[in-house]
Amino acid sequence: MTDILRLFGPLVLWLASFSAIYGLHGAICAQGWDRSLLVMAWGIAVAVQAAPLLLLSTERFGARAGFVRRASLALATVSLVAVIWTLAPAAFLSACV
Amino acid sequence: MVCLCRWVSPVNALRRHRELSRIWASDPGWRGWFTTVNHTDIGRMFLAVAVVFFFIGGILAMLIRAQLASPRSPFMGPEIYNQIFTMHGTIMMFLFAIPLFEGLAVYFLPKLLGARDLAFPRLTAYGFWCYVFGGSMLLFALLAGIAPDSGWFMYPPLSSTLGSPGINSDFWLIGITFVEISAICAAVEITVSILRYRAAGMSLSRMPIFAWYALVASLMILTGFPPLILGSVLLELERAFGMPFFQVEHGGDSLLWQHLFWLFGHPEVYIIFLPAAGVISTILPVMARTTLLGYGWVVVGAISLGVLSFGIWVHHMFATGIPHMALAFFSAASTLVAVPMGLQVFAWLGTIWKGRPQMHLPMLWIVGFFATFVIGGLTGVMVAVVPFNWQVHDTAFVTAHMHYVLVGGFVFPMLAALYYWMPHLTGRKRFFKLGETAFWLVFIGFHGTFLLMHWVGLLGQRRRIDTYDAGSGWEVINLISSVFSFVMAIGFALILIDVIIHTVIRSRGPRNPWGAGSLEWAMPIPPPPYNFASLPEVTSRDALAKSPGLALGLAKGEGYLGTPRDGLRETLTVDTATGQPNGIVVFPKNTALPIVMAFVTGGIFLGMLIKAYWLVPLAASGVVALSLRWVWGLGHRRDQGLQDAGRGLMLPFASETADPPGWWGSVFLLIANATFFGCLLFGYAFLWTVAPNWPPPKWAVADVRWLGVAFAGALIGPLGIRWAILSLRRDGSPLPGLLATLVGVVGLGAGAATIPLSLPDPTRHAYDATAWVIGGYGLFHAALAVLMMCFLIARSAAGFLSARRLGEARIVRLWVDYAALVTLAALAAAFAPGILS
Repeated sequence: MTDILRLFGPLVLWLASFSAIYGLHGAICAQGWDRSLLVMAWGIAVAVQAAPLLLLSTERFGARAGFVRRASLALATVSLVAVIWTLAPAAFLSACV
Repeated sequence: MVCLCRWVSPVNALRRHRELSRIWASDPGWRGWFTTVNHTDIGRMFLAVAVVFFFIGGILAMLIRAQLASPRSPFMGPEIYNQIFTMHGTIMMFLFAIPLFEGLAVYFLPKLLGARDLAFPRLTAYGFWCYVFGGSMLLFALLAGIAPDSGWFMYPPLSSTLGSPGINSDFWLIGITFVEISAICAAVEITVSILRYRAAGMSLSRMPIFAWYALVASLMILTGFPPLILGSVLLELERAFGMPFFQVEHGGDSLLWQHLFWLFGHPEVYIIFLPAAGVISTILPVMARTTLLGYGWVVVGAISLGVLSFGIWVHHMFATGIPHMALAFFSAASTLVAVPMGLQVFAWLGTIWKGRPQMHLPMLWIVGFFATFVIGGLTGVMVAVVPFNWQVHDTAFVTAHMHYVLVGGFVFPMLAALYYWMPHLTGRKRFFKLGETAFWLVFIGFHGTFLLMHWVGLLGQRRRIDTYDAGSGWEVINLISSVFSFVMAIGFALILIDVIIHTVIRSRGPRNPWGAGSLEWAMPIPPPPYNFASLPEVTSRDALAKSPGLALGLAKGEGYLGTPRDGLRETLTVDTATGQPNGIVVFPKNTALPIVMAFVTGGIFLGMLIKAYWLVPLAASGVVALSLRWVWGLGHRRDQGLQDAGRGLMLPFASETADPPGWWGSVFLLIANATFFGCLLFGYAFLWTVAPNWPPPKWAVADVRWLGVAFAGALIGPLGIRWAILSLRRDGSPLPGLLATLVGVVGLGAGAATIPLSLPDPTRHAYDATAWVIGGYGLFHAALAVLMMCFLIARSAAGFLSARRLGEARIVRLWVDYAALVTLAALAAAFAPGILS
């Protein structure tokens, strides 16, 4: 089960960040909060998403089996790219138009 | 290499075959159809029923094309046309595509994984019968002329009582939810089977590639279907009782339905595609006489595709007035998903490149898949881009794109699978070469139909229109499209004839006609009910390729569990990561319990459908009684200790391990359950922040005493069950802990009940309605936990629990913990606004 978590965990974390920031976007538009919150949240999401990549490359948290280790690191990288790419509009576009 | 050299069973091959056949066979005669729990039988039945639905859906498609062949066609009126196109989409998505995947997985997975059956055979049968009964409800509606008519997406207010006052939409909401029980059952079944029911030595890196795809698709069903089930429940509550989830004037919002529907609907496309991709990754290397290029990368691609597809749902809602930034989030995610998709396509092309492909019929369908699916993928990227999406939204262009993806990406690979595995199903070889002719008719017919549909869509033809005027410029295109659609239909009819001829004519085929390396060919064909006479140990991904004598060795009993024991249906469970054997599972025998329980479950849905609400609690009580009967027969009253698994290996029964299959099943069912609850909270937050007419006239006011009772329950329940487990481990009595837990979960129920009690009118505002559902959800889980605790106390008294037999208590612990968690969350969601304001 731990290996399955290593494989699926990083992308699920991306999905959580993605959903949370989409939710935050809705709240910002509804409540009239400052959009800089979104940029900040994106930055935090990128930082948090880097954690699985770092952890999975360590001996302690990484998989022992070569296949799972390689695949989990690849998936963690995909997740990091995903969080940067899919949430980048937070920094460049107007929030509620 | 497969090592079978050291251990030989004392029983000879023929005697073993006879003995295992007697143990595993379904009941003789017609009774066997209704009592079988064998995955081979159920898989075949799933596949056959799904194909029947495919042809029904196909006939409806022909009616649509007949109607659109000419302008102002008098063929049918809009009332009938609306039912026809709604049922075409509904049947193809819910009653054909998903069940076909389920059937394929149910039939093949144990054979591919080197096991004798799936994890929960009775659940497989129950899911199948729910599918049959739920699908029959929808078919009845179609024949009676009262079928759903609001489109397969059922957008309110078109589908609410305002737009659809009759029973039509109820058939969809209730019938599809009934069918989805089948999908959830199958997903739990498949997930646990892949993770635990494999051949010895089959580590994650040695799993057949189809198993990876099936695992991802099943996890997606567990997390993708709950939003739709929730949406259906909410819409049915609105229609039946006036709870205004989607009515703007009462704080609801019809966009909530679109969110919930597409939270399901987009992953659904990938749930359909991924098994097809698994089929291609399995068949293509065999056809190319090589191994799959980049196995690890393909696994990474499949997992990426599965999870990323959950971040795309809003691209179906680009035209609903959502802010630009949100559009950009989902547009970016939609383009990103093309990367893992492309990775897989390149891996397949690379596999062809490195091999020596042979153009057998399955390969022909795969080539057809490439040509078609790549076009569908490219138009997918086009509609992922917002400005283009706005231009083609709700036009025939999108219909064409969708068919390129679903027919090209699912039907064609499944036809490759049909011709690849047909010898396995029947033990025969093809006689005539009708299949090749059929391929060309379907392929040409398909492209003639749908390529043109892109064009007419760009010319402005809307989707779902029942007719159009002469002089619109669409006439010739539609006529040609309709003619080609009938060419395609003739092709599908030829395939049916080809299969019938194949099945009827007794032309015996070889055991492994394609020279494949996977385990499903290491058995006699058609397969015996026990699959493998003894269970293999594998040391590579293509076990049969490495050891061509494997089938014979297994028949001789050189694998595990080669000696039938006490008439038991046995298989191995393994460690998820390493594939190390760690338990022996004893499967239940043939029983009518699944079909009876599916029938009684149908009573719940039928009661809601025909508004005979007295039937609902009656049928629910029947389901509870049958469930108790179902689980009471499991386990032992005495410790059994280690058992001989063959080849000198001693293993415990799975019921004497800390994490029996039921525990794994509960974990994945709770994941689906938690997704449902998460979507409910999302819906609540969405209405609160986005819907007009908020805040509600009055927030719920909490009674502090009952909140205290609920908090105490949330503490005592989980602690009590842990105390009981600890006592069992120390050979003490679990009863004090169990009774404490029972008190705790009763307290949880009392706390959850205060939510609806504090809001007497759920029709007043969407807040009241949502709080009712949240409270009801908490109450339901508290009641479930009470029921489980009573059962566990009875099991303890009957001697089913011990220090070795802790599994049942650990399963109940999961549900008690979950009940505590959701009750607290429900109380917070319902009462926090009132407290804060």
